[in-house]
Amino acid sequence: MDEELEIFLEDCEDQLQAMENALLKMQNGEEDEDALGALFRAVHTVKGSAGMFGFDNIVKFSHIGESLFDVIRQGEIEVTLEMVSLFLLCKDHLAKIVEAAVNNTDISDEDTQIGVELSDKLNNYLTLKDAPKEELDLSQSEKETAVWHISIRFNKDFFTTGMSISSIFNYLNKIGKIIVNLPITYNIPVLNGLNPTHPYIGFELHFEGTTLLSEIEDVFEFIESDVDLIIFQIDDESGYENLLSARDEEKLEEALLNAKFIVSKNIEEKTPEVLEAVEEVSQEEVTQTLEEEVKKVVKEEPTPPKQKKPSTTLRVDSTKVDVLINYMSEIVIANSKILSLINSELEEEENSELQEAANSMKELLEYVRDGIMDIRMIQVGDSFSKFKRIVNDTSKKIGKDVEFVITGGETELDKTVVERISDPLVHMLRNSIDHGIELPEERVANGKSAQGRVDLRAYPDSGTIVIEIEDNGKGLDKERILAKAIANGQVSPSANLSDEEIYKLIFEAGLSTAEKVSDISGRGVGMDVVRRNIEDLRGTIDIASTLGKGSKITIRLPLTLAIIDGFLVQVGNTKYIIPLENIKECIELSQDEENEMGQNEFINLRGEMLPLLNVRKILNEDESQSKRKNIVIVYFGKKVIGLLVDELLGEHQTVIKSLGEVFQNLPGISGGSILGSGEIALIFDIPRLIEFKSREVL
Amino acid sequence: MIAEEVDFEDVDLFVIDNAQQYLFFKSGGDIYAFDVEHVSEMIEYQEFTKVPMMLPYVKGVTNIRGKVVTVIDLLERLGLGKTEVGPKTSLIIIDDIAIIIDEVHDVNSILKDDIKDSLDFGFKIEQRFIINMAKYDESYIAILNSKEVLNISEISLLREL
Repeated sequence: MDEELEIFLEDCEDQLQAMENALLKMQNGEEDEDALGALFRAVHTVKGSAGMFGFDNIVKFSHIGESLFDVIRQGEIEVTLEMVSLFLLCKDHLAKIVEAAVNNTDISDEDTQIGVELSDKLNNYLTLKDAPKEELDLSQSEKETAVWHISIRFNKDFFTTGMSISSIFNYLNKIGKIIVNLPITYNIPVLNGLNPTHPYIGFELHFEGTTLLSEIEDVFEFIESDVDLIIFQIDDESGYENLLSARDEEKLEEALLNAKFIVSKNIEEKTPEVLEAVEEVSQEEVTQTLEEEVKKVVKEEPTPPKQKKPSTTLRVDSTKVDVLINYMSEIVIANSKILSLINSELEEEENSELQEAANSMKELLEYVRDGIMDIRMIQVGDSFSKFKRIVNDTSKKIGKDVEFVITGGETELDKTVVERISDPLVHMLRNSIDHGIELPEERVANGKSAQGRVDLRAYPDSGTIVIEIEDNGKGLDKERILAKAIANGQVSPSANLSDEEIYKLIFEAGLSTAEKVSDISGRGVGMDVVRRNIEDLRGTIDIASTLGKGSKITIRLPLTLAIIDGFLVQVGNTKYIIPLENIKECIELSQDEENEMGQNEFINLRGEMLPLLNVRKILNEDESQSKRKNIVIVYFGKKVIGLLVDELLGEHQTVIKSLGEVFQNLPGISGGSILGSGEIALIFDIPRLIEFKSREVL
Repeated sequence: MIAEEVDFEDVDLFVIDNAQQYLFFKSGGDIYAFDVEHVSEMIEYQEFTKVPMMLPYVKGVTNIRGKVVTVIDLLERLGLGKTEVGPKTSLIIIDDIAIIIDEVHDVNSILKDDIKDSLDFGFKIEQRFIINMAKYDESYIAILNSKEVLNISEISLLREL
């Protein structure tokens, strides 16, 4: 997809989300001007951006919505719940046509039909109020043809926004007509000073149309922070003064003067007044005196009019941040190399100052690294509020009354993690509503309030982020789960499982206890996928439940995907990192224990059998040169194994790097990390390793 | 090519639009070539970290300026034994994979007329690894197909345990 289309899509998604949030607020009776205003702005922005790309169908459809919202905003139509539902459908349709437009696919006949019906319904509301309609028409006819001067300069990294200059012109020509186009080229440097990615060009346009100032500004709405605009009506005498003073380009005046012939010729036939205005500018003395006056004016009014507050957010391609992170970890590594050189090469009295400098460097670098990592962090709230709609629709569909409460939306999490937990969360929320919350009658019969409640919480907890989904529904029926698991052959009938183990069975494939399969949930595919997704993010998932009272699913996620706390060990010549979160303890393997082991690969650890994984064996390393043998006891869930290694080298802040495509099938290794010495240590993926070894034994 | 026999400059000028550039190197005593377009760099051999459970020719990973790069032994990949590491051993980097070879020989062009189809049989490495045969220094050498040598679906397989 083109970069500019991608930005367009992202922008539309944001706007559509804002629409949905506003609509849901209204649906809950919280109708206020803010929500209406947000709604109007969202549709308006979508329309504007779509116009830039020439997606006429989107412009047409959103225009109807925009007009209606505007009328509502004026207080001329009361919003009914019925209308809100209609708007929600419109929002869905808009999302659909935006997607189709971006992917360049055709809109299905069915969807086209829906679009027509929705438009008709919207129009009905509009025509309901004849009076405002007329007023609208009036304001239309009030607009007379006017000629505007538009002065455009582009920021030097304008092209990185992905927008093209020609699309601006196209759009302008759609809403009116560019009658004079004077490219400003004197800022283009000589060839060897020219950066081909910078737009040195600017434009002075005369634009004719029945448009209002705001409509012209809308053309640039999408790129407003990337262009420097001055727009005024051509018969506005102060316009040129302002232009010349604001531009502060010596040659602009000259360029405008040179262009005057073209200007005057073209305009002459159309509006004589314009000519006067232009001529005024062309008279040098006049402009000079004007300029002086302008200088005075500028002194008196230090804030130029109509300057918009620059936005503080920055849209950055996430790969740019990744590149920074990569370099950053390189710098950290290079610096630790310097440190170790200082220690080994220099005498003590020589090195103290150097060492101090290198140490403070190290500290600063860590700040910078944390800062860069922080860029990737986003609040979970935006993603969570999308679920409101899903909860709303799901519960309505099956006749359940559910209050959905989100807490901790401001909790920050790595963007990739947020994106990747979205689907699992949707699935679990649906489950909670479908299987957890009972029908209102049933709840009342059981002495509960008719309305059920589902909570979605996020909060940080000791270096991880916890996400909880809690419902006050009927809870899990462990007898049924166990019976089903036994019937499926997943659990032996004689097994003596704890409650927690039984609940965890719902994360196994093929286990659904829902009596009726609905299109919402109950097919028994899903919870295993959910678990898998969470584990892929190096997270864990747990479930607690009380029959009749409700269930609580707790997901624990690492703050970021890129850095983990690890423990460095060595086997033969190879270094490995074991995530600290998986380590239970480290013990030394004594000669006695080794003798006791014999050919077996387990030890007796305080009365429990502990299976050992000899890392040397899977690596085909030579015999150990190290006399000591150590066991790192790792666990995941209920499973505990020992990893037999040579040396324990201590804790290590680990930057995870992918090993590359070649190692995509490799189980038990999640990536590599570059150590201070430049060598690569392999990072164990303990859950996968345990799973892989257990399967191998079977 | 050896400089005394052909005037380098002339050839280079001549070949700009008539012939492609190739990287010639030695592996297991024989000369092979890769299309220069595919080669991102050549560096001196360096130590690598072994990665378990992979096929024998997938040696491991190494750090090239902060990037984790897979290391593959070309000779083993072609089924001709193992590369002995010596002072001239080098790594050719193609698609973020470092290929161990004995020695970098030359970067030069081959005239179109000197490029021939590969043989159906009779050459010691599998035909799929070869794009063309080419006359170089009065003898025929194989221009290797890097896509096939580095075929991900093949080299990412795990060793049978």
